[in-house]
Amino acid sequence: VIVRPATGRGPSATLPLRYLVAAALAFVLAALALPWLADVLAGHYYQPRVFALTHTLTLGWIMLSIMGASYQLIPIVLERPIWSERLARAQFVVLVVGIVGMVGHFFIGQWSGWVWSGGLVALGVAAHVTNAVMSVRGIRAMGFTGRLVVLALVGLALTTLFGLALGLDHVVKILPGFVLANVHAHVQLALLGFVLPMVIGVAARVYPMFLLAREPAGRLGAVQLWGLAGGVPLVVAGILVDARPVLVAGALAVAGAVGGHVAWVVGMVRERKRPTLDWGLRLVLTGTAFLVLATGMGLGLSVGVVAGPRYGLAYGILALGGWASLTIAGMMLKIVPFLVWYLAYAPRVGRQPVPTLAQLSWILGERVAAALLAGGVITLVLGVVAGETAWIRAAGILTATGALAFAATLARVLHHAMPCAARGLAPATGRQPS
Amino acid sequence: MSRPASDVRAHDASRALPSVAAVTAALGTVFDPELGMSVVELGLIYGIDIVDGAVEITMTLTAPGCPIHDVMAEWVRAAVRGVPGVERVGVRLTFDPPWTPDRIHRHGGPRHGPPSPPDARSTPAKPGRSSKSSDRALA
Repeated sequence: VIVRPATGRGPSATLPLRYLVAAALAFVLAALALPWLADVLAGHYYQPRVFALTHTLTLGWIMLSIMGASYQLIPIVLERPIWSERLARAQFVVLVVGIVGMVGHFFIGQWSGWVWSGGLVALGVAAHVTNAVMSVRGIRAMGFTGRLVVLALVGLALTTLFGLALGLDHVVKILPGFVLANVHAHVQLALLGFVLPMVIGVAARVYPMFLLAREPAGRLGAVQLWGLAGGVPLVVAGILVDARPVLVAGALAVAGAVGGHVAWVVGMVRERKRPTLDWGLRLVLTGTAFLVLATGMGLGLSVGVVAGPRYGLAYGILALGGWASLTIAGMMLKIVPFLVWYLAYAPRVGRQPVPTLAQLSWILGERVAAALLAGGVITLVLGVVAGETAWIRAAGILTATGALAFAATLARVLHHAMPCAARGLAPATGRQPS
Repeated sequence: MSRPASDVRAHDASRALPSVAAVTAALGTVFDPELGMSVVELGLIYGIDIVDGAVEITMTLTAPGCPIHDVMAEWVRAAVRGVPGVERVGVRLTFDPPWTPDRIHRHGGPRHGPPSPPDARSTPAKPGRSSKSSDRALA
């Protein structure tokens, strides 16, 4: 007799896995391109190949991994089933085709061809937002995480619409204002409006699970929620209308939100019951340290302490390459082994010995990946600020090697899911119970 | 050739029924795959009820939306089924009270698995009697 409570049903394990594998491939591709694009990165960031690189990271790596993780984590964190797995599968194909098309057209600087691929990405994002909103609809208590996830979905939708308008603007002039201001607003909307609320919202529920710490609560939650809900529109508006006081007010509100998040993370780490931190968690915490650096530089840019395209690019690298990428890489080292364990070993539970997730992982690969990725990003930031092509190339080689080590680590984990049938085991259904 | 009825009665009377300690030891082999700690160390076991050969485990998970509900319950069932004298195993998942990290106890002590009341700690249950261990009962 198994009596269990009714909660949200998890999707097939292969659904989030396909997003995460595609995202990891995009990450490796972007990292491998770094040494090759060192000359370009030493100059101004407003160049088609820099757009190709950044969108490989933002759409291919960051957005796909967040979407994949959402399909895994929404049933766990918000206790709601995914509204439509079929839509999520169709959306994946549309997004991959759209992202490849967008990056390709950025690379060759073909704006007319960019429109159809940008439209496909927008279609895929619309499908995801619909799926996520329908999934969390009717939730009993939205809570901190639920509110931040909704905020992030709004940010994703607005970022996509703004990005589509920016692309169309190259074909038919539709946007008023200075083009670089529009680009900056688009970047901040993506970073602060989508990625930041999603990460800090989910972190409040997921980090305690991994660290074995109490779930954080209290006034700092309100600081984070209202800091982002109020600060991001001010940052974007301040950039668009070129009003520095508005921009600074928004930046301070966002910095307050980041401060609240970091205080929560530090508190969880201090009171954790997990005796040792694995490399996945260490990468996540290293990512949080990069968030502090990125916030400092963002504040500096907003008040004018630092200025210019080199510092702007360095800010983007700290935020996207440091905070977002290391956090996502760390979480992936936790989520992918779980999904693979579920596919390969859950059917054998109770009938024969099964390994732990740590036994599926390749510790040396994780250690090498963590060291090279963190070192590579720091070197890249210094190289970009200095405008030194040789530093940027060296940083690119470090980062690319780290990304390859990361991919090799994931490949070793994924290998466990492959030979099920060959070993004569009953194939897993892939259905995650709840 | 069938055994005389008196032999069957003697066999039933001498059969050892499962103890809470034996069931707890079996539960110690069931672990959270991510954390690598047993359900006993994690404090996920809220109660063990034994009535004759029927064992009911009341347990929780670290999170209500944990995707391995069925896996853990099946794992617990398989582990306890292997304890001598166990005939039936029921697993009841509850989230009342919700699990907190304070329940973790890695090196023994009162929260290292379900604390056993004195009458069930070391003696196997007698036929026809029940033994019970519950954190809430002791709270």
